[in-house]
Order: sequence, then C-alpha cells, then structure tokens
Amino acid sequence: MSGVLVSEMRKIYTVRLWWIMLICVFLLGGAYALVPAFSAGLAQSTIGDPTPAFEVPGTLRSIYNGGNTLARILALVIGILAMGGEYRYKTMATTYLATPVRMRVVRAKALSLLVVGLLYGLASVLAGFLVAIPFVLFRDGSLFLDRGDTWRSLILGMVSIALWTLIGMGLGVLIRNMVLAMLVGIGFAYVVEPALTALFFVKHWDLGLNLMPTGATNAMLGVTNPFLFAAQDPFSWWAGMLVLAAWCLLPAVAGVLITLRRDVA
Amino acid sequence: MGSARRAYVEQPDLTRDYGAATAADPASVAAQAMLAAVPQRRVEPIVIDRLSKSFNGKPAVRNLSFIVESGVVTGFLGPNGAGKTTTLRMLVGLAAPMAGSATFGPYAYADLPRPQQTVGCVLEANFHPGRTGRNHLRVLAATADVDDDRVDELLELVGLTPVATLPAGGYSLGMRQRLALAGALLGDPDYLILDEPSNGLDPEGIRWLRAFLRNFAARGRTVLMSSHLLNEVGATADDIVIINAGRLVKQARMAELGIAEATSRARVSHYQRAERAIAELGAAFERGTDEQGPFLRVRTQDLYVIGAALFNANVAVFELTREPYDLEQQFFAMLEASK
Repeated sequence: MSGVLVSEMRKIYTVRLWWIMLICVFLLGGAYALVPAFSAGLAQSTIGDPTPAFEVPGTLRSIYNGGNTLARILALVIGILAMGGEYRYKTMATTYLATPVRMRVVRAKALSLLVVGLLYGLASVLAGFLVAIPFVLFRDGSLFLDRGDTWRSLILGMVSIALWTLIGMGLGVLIRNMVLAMLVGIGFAYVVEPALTALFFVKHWDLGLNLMPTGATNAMLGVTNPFLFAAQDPFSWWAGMLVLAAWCLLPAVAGVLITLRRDVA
Repeated sequence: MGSARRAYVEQPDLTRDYGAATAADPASVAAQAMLAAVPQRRVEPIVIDRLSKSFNGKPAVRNLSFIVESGVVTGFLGPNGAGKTTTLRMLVGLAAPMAGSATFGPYAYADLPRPQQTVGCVLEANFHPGRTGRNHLRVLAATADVDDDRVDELLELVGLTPVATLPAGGYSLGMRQRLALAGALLGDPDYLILDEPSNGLDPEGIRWLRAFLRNFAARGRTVLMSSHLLNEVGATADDIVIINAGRLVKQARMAELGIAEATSRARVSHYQRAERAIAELGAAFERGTDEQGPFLRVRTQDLYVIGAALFNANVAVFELTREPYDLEQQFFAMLEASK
C-alpha cells in the first residue's frame, strides 16, 4: 500500500465517526429489513398466495437488502465528510502539503472509502440476513443460499453501498462547502430523486427510472421495492452497476475539472 | 553567535560588526566544535521570482522577487495584509501564482520528489478536533515514510507527550502550534517555512522556538519565517525581507540593518575640525545639543573609525558612544516610506 493510502485509511479510523456510523448501519439497517419481512409475512397470511412469500427468492433478496435504502444515505454522508471535512476543519492544506499532487489524494481517498463502503455494505446485508432467519424458520421458507442470484444480490448489495460512498466523495470534491454538499446530497436522495422517479413512473418512462440512482441500485440487487415506483423492465444487474458507477463519476469528474485545482485556505 | 554562523565581520569598514564574538571567545569555540559534529547539509536557496497574485482584482502580491539563502534564518516581515501569507502559500503550492514563480532551488513544491522530507511547513495550525495529537502525526507519518517511533520522538521534542492521546480539539493555541511544528519536522526537512510562528506561544515557548530555529539553520538548512513585528524575529533572523502592499521594501542582513542607520554620539574639543574629519570619512552627521552641552551625531556605529579620524584631526574626544537603536522604529519608518 502506498503512503497516501495508509494516510487516508488512518484518517478514517482515527476518528470515531466511522464506527458510530457502522453501528447505525447495522442496527437501523436491521430495522429497515423488518419492513419487507413483515409485509411478506402479512401477505402470506392474509392473501394466501399459491406460492408462500418466503418461498420466493425475490422476497428474501428484498429482506437481505432491506437496510440498503438507509445504508446508502449513511454511505453518502461518510463520503461527503471524507472530502468536505478536510475543507471544514481546514486540514486540506496539511494534506496537500504532504501530497502535492492532488489527484493522488483523490485516488487514495476513493480507495479508502471503497473499503469503508464495502464494510458498511457488509453490515447492512448481515443485518438483513439476521432479520430473515427467524421469519424463514417461523414461516417454513428458505434462505435460498443454494442459489447463485441470492449470493449475487448479497455481494452486489455490498458493492452498491460502496458506490454510494463514492457518490458522496464526488460531491465533496465538487462542492467545497461541507454543509452545502451535505444538503445537496441528502436533498437529492430524499427530495429530487423521489420526485423525478414519481414523474417518470407516471409518464411510463422506464429508461428514466432505470437511470436514476435508486433504479440502478435496485437493478443491482435484483429487487423491486413495492413502496417505490419501479420500472416495468429494469436493467440487468451489470447495467445497473454501470449506471451507479456513472453517478459516482459525474460529480467527481466535474469536481476534478472545476474545483480541485483551486487555492486552498 | 556571529562567528559560528555566517561571517558578517567580512563586510566593508562602515558595516563592520565589532560587537560580534571573535573566534578567540572560548564559548564561541565550544559552539563551533559542537556544530562541527552535526552533519552539515547543502541546501539550495529559495527563489521568489517576479511573483504576482491578486484576489478579485485586488493585488495581494506584486512582482515580488527575493532569494532566501540556505544556512540562515530569514525573517519575512510586513504589516498584516502585506502579502506574506499569500507568498508563502504560493511557495508551497497551496495557491497558484498569476505570474512568476516560487521554487526551492530548481523545484516547484509540487515537483519535489519527497516533499515532507524536503520542506516542513507551519502555517495555520488546524487539526480535526476529534483526532488525537499523536494520530494526527501518524496520518502525516504515513506519507512522510517514517514510523511511530519518530512520531513519539517529535511529541517528546515539542513537549506534547502528556497530551498526545487527547483529542486535538481540546488543545490550547500554543499546543496547536507545537503540534504543527512537530508535523512539519516529521520528515526531517531541509527547509522550514513558518507563518507567524510566535502566535499563541508563551514567552518560554518563543525562547525555545528561537533556539531551535537557530540550531536548525546552523546545520546548513534554511528557515523562512514571517512576522508582522521586527522585534519578534530580530533575535533570531540573520536576513530580513520586508514587504508592504505586496511589494519588496527591503532585503538586508540583520546586522547591516542595525548598523547602516544607527548612530554614534561624540563630544569633542573642536566641532568644526571634527565635522571636517567626519565628512572626509563619508559618514553623515549632524550637530545637536542636550542638557550636557553640544554633541556631534554620526551615522555609523564604527567607533574605531571615528575615534581614529578625530585623533588624526587633532581633536580631543570627551565622549564617544554608540546610541541605542530601535529596530522596530526603523522598520515602521521603512514601511511608511514605501507607501
């Protein structure tokens, strides 16, 4: 590992924020996973589907990744903080004095955040998995661990969280005011994107839905969230991953081109 | 101190510093022997070349050029807002110059192969409030390619060992300055750049810093420190660079600065004869009177030259003395004149 990467890793684990957020991802992610789990249980007992919900692989994928919608926001936040915090606490000068080639700092931060993001993703799917176990036992269903698409969903669940971390970091590169970056990031995730998604859904514009970060994430996970407007014909998992990767690159590239070279206070 | 460092005594007559310790001084000999044991380095000068920068159309640094020599402490002086910090930031690549360049020998900061091992910077002392002092240094140690032992060594050097494992957010201003200095020294650099380093330091800390900087420069390395007070760097600096409103006002050796403008007072038997003799020396003079009677004020502190000239002019000397000299006053006079 290069010195810059070690330095960036040390920056993350020497401040307690990362493990507080990790615990939040695990506990709140587990709580979020209860929603698809209970609703599946409810559907099974009231509607009396011919195929019980806990015997449908898609149901289990939804529960495993039930924490994703929350974990991705926390991932976004830690990504913004990794870059924005350096401007906020005016430590960027020290960072650039140690590594004057600024792109090297950006690369090392991205790599270190990828590691953190995968860890958060692991906490999220682990929580979802632990939530699923009692339901499956009680309802006599299956965890579907013998299926390849279950494992793919678990792994891509982790990868998607890591990508959301990078979206946050890109925002942090582009918008040098940490608070503003946070407002833009969370505002987009909770206001702008849902509004656009609803619009696209009403207009039956599938491509628009698939190109949104949430649509792309759901395509990766192989789930259709019943509470959100979903595309009729979602992208394949790899196309979803490419779309989400593009969402990481968009703010990051703009930031590198526009704000990275500016004077540092 | 003089003989152990750069030899100012080899200046022309009128600027000769008779006050400096001679090589025969036992303390000086001991100091020389001590310094000889310390490895000397060859460090290239810092070159500021026609540097310019403005903020929103308002010029901060205008066509500024000077050279910072190695092996000495250079004081970078000017009132607040003169462009000192902007110049230093351009030198270390945190701000981009609009014209000109600032380099360490041939290298711009960003082109230095091992920046932390070459240049140590103490600018604003900012840290993440939740990270401990020791961990702050460990973050820097990773890029400086040094281990945790070196981190602990520096914590010890700046006296932060007792608080090393506490969050830096609780540090006093003086502790933050010490931590910033420790961070700058991690890579054992050849150059040390300090922006108003005395800010927040207590008198004891300032004394310690002065001694440290003198020792650092004495090993052939380069120190550039800014200040808005001449007296603050007067005790430490060998060279001074004065800027005002982004322009160079004066670059001089500290020893010269004191002597060129400083005066001596003479009371003699024959003033006209004395004035002729002084005029022949080429030194400026004026006649004055105080409660003890008339006197002659001469614009040099070289009493040997004055005394000899008066003797040759057959004038009896009743009093010949160097007048106390206020550097700070001269500093402000120069700033005033530069406007």
